Amino acid sequence: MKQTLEERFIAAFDEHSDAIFRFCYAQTGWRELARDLTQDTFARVWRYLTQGKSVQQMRPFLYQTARNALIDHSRRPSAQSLDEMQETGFDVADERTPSPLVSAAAAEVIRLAGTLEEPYREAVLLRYVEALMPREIAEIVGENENVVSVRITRGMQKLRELMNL
Amino acid sequence: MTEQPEQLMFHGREIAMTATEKAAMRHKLLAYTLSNPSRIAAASVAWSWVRRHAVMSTVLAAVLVVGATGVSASMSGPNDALYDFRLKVNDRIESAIALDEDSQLDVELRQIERQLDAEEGAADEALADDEQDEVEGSEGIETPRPEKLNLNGSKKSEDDESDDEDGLSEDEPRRNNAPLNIDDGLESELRQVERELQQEESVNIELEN
Repeated sequence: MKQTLEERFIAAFDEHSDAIFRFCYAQTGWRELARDLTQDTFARVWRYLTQGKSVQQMRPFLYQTARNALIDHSRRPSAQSLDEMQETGFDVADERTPSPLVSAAAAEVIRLAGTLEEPYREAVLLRYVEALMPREIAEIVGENENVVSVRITRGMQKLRELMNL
Repeated sequence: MTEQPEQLMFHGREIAMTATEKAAMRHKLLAYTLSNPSRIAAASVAWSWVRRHAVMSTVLAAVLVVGATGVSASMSGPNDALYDFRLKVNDRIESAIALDEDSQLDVELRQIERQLDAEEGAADEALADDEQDEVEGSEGIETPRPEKLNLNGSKKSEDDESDDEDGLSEDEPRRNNAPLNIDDGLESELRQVERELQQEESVNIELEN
């Protein structure tokens, strides 16, 4: 039996919400904000679907939408960067702890990757945290595969420098 | 660190919302979908059905168009665009589906009666329009005496009323038996059908006896 639009949408949420949350969390380092951005991402997708537009592949489309939500958030005047929050005394240590299941070493690497400048941060996190192939990342960020591969390589070099490796 | 950064980052895949967070967000989004329903969902479902059942949709559309035309035509009068359709299609179909002779006669009678009513109505309307035009066109001038329409639908002046009083009643057959106009023709046809029906009934009564 064919699913309704609502059923398909909720199925997409069940399947991809953790990945979108992780993507937002790795980019912002703030759990609360990542949750809001995840919800905003799915609300945007729903609005898009209700306009009668179709989505061929939901996963890359969700990442694209989350990316737009992150960009919009960073452009808001009230938005504070992680650095600013740390400077003003906001203790994000607990919030940055990804999960008890993630080791401290892994959490530290993800935190450092989150401090990389764009477009390297996005490419590295999508490649190694989300385990997306360069082709899929290229589709999300709207670049060709070679450009994405170069960004990943350079991003990892920068990350190693930060880790003193 | 023994593991490479790539491998360490891979552990980041275990980052997830808690079950409570996820359930709460799911609930909110479900409410959001209900409060912001798809505007085109119904239309797209209907359109996809039409595309999948092209033949059935075409037949359905044709039936709807013909049906609507038939219903409109059945209520049309002589001055309406669909009157021809009514005479050529509706009445023929009605006659065709009347199986036995009695029903056919009934149908014919009904059709003639309807036709007579419609044409009388049209004639009345035309007369009313003419009178209106005359009143408007000759205000202040002595108006000619109004014509009167007898039951056969033909126009008569008041002078002719005396003729009727002189012995020619409505039901009396015309002298030469020839129809003077369309209405007369229809009326004579109606009478003929009525006579046939009466004959049929009398035969039936005799047979029953």
